[in-house]
Amino acid sequence: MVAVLLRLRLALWRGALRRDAWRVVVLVLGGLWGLGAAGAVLVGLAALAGAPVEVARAVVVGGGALLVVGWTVVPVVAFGTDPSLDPARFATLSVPPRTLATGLLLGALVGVPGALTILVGVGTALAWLRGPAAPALALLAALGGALGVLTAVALGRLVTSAAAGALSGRRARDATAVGGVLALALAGPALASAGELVPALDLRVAARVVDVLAWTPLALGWAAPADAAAGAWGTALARLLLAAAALVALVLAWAAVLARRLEQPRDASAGRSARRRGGSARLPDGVRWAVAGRCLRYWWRDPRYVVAAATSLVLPVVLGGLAALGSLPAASSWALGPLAGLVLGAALHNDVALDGPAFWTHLAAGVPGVDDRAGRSAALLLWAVPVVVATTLLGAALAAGSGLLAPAPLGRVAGALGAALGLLLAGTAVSAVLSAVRPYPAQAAGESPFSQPSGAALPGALAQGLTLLATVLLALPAVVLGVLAAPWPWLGPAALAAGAGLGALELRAGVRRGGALLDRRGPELLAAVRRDR
Amino acid sequence: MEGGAAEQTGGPALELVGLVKRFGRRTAVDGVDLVVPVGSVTGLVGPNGAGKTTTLSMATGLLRPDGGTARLLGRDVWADPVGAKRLVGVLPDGLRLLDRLSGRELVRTTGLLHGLRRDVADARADELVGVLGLADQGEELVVDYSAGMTKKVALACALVHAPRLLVLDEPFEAVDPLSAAAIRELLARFVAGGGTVVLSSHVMELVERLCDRVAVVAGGRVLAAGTLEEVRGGGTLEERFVELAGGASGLGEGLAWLRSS
Repeated sequence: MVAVLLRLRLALWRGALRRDAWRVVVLVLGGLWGLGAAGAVLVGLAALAGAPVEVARAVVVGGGALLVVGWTVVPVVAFGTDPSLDPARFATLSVPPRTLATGLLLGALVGVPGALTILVGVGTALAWLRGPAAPALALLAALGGALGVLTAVALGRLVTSAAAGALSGRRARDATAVGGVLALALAGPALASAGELVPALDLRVAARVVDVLAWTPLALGWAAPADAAAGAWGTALARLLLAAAALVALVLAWAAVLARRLEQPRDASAGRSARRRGGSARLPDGVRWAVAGRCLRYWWRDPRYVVAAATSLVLPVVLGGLAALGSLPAASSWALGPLAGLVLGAALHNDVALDGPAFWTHLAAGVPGVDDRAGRSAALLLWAVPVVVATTLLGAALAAGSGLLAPAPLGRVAGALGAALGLLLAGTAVSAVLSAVRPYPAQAAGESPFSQPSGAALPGALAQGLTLLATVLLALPAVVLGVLAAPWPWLGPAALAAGAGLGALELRAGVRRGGALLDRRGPELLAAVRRDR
Repeated sequence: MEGGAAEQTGGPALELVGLVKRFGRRTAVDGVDLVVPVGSVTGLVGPNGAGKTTTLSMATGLLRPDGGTARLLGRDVWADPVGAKRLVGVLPDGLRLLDRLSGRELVRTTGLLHGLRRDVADARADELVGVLGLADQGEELVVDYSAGMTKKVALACALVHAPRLLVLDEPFEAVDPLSAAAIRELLARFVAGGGTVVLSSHVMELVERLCDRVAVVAGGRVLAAGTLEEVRGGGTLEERFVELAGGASGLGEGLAWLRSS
């Protein structure tokens, strides 16, 4: 049975690769990159063989524990990235839960990340090729590494399955997806600031942390060879046995959770109601405002839109934070608003693809293309303009508050505002046209915002690059005037006029151009988004 | 083709002439001709993959044909799409709805997209949601609806702008008997009020009960069309259908191991 599951996993993989040539490229590139990274780790591990036991122990135990945590957290957050071996799919088959658990456990290791993890896990043996007992130590380390890797996967699956039970409602899933993306986006800056704290940490504290970790299931296997290298072979064996026992316990617990899920494979609970009316009751009459009202609700309710809105603000927030901490020159916070405008302006560049086949509703109702474009743009601008203005003012306050330019000269604020609005409007104009030219595959509604649809990587990068380039070109007058307003604040009002005025004209042209395209090619767009499913 | 000389008064509700659609090398619709007179309920029956959905998509402006014309009440769908679309309500099969809206919001928004005034759209949405038995779930998001409820709310969307022709692709799929009865009654009232219905299905009993005209489609062509009596010619529709579409079971002596005893 386990063999059948492993073969199934390979077959699914092959099938996915055959359907889409780009996946092969991505796989090969990703595999090469991963191999390079793993190779570097292995070289580092081999170098550790010359280091004192204490250092090697701290590195291997700490790294191993991180590996386990990674395998545990990523699948929970990245819900649905790989549903191919979703336990619910086996609900109709009579597979005993424990067999299924074992098979799925090993199946999770089939693939590039799994193979690399095994390589690195077993490769920790390299760090213990030392002293007269080197072969025995290496064997022990390889065993401990294998146990560590299996524990990582088992813990990950257990947590995923348990979470799947707890998060079976759509709303809970939406919330996790959004929270996960935000956590990941903020993880980088958080790590960076943590890194600045590390030198302050006492080395003895670190050693204490490693000591504690070494007795938890996170690192039992990784810590065993260190004991042996220090001569405590008894402790080492005890750790290995404990690691194996922990692994068995994890698999049993997972099998129990699995058994429960197999009895109730369907998401039983559904969301309750949509009382929040989305505020569009106050929008004016007319088809374009109907479109805008619909889109506003999507910005609020669809996790794909929520994630897009949130992530587009991550960059300004991070830069602002760094500037506030003094890691960046305070003057750089003048760029926050324009940056937010640039990113938010590109938000709609693939909007028809986000509708997916539901786009037929616009087509069947004969919505004029201009109204479609205008409504979508209006929904974005209704919240993006206040956000961009607020970000710009915040950036100005940051720059001024640092004493560099207190108080911020009004002309310079107007200049930044002009550049920001110019970029936002120009980006919206470009998106209005581009999204009517050729949608590229986007995540389907209800899918995890993490899951990258097949074949989207290259066209996506191209479309985004094109959008940003065209946006910057169109907004160039406002941006240049905004930059010149720094030395010559009297240019600020001109920048504001160029940004808002020229931007509005560009938006009108973009809406008309995109609308005409939509009128002409609506059925082709629908066919394209249906094909991409 | 032999459809409807007698009861035509104005232009036919739907007139397809030589519709062709190719997907790559495969020809999905291979010259479909069909006339649907005003006031009729016409059933499109055919096996899976016969080209029913493709034909209906081309007839309603959702899929551009490679050849032929489609006219709705005398208006060319592909020359005057906006004018034609005002006259027709569509329930496509297998296309998602804007499902992050609640049921009531979806019906209302569809009405607004058709250009209805806000108060009219509000009133009609409330009424349709009530008639179709969705009032209790009217504020729930459509993404959380069951398949049958989704069908019903889609039907409400097709009706909200008071079209003169309804084109329904598999309207009774996944719908429970009670709801099916409600939908049948609604369609009957729609036709009594001068409307025309075209629906596709592969449930023959349903088509026999509901439709006064039938077109049998297979392999991208119309094999027979006319009044129900003309097409079935004395037998049942199912017999005639199997005869036309050529469906021997091909089972023979296989699957012997399936027997329990």
